Amino acid sequence: MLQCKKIQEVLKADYLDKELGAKEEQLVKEHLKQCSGCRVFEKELQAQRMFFQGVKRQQVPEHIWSNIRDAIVTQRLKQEAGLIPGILQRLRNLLSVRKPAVVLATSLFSIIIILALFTNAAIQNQIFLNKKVAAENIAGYSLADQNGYVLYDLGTGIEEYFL
Amino acid sequence: MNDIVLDVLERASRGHMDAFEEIYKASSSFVYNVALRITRNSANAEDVVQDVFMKIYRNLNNFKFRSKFKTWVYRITVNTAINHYRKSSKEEKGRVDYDNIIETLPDRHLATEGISQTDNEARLNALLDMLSPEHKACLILREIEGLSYQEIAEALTIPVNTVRSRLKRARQALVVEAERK
Repeated sequence: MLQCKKIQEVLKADYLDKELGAKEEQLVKEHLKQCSGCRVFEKELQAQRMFFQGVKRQQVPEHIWSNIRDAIVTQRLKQEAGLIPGILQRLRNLLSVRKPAVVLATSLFSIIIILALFTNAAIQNQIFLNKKVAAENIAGYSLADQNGYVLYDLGTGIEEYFL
Repeated sequence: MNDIVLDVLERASRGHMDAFEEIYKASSSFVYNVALRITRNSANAEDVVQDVFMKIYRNLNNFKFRSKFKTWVYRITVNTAINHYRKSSKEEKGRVDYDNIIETLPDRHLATEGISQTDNEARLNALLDMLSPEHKACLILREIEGLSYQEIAEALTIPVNTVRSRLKRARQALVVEAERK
């Protein structure tokens, strides 16, 4: 009985599909000669196989190819017509889509640019003030003659400017 | 289904319609018959054929020849047909399939052979309907299309032993059903 169970497992796949080795196939055939139950089971499987293989293959309806050809032609035309608008649309999508990563990157970039501008303005302002102070200091030490020529005393004033 | 010559595939991937038509002629019978058995309905099978060939057309450039072209077609066909079957089963659940009833009714103008063929179709559909789409696909590829275990395994991307066990279960279910009747 246990052997019949094993044989029937083999019958359902490898034996029926001729995937068994010659030796194993011979063993199954010998069992079938002796066991009527397994013989009946094998016949049922073979009958089913015959039934499946006997069902007529259906002809492919002819209009399917023309539908496919039309769909391909339409797709090609769309691709050709939509090449430039497609690129523009992609660019537009890229600009309009608010993805978190894009938003974060844009915000960080803006902050950096604003900070850089402020820092630059502050530095420029400081330089301007320093120059003004230095000019005043220099002017304090300058000696104007009667003809409008200014002769600078490059003593302590200019040294302080550079310090 | 025979494998397609490399030159034809390359020309088709460059957009030559005559080469693509050659691919269609070589593989459409396989695609249609597998789709028909899985979806059980000629209108659905026609949709599947169109979907399959549009997928092939769009992806031919990306086909890297790591597997045989026909294995790729088997895979696309089975996956598309199963997806279509699942989608239409959901839609048709609880609704009488008039299309199928009409298709399986014998035509009064048919000859005796025609009537028996229609009966066979109805019986085949009824038998296949008892199986899950995955078991059905295995059985169709083996019994009707004559693929080897290895080819089925590659087409369905499953191990050969899974092919074996699915075939066993499907055949067991069919034998039990036959005994019940």
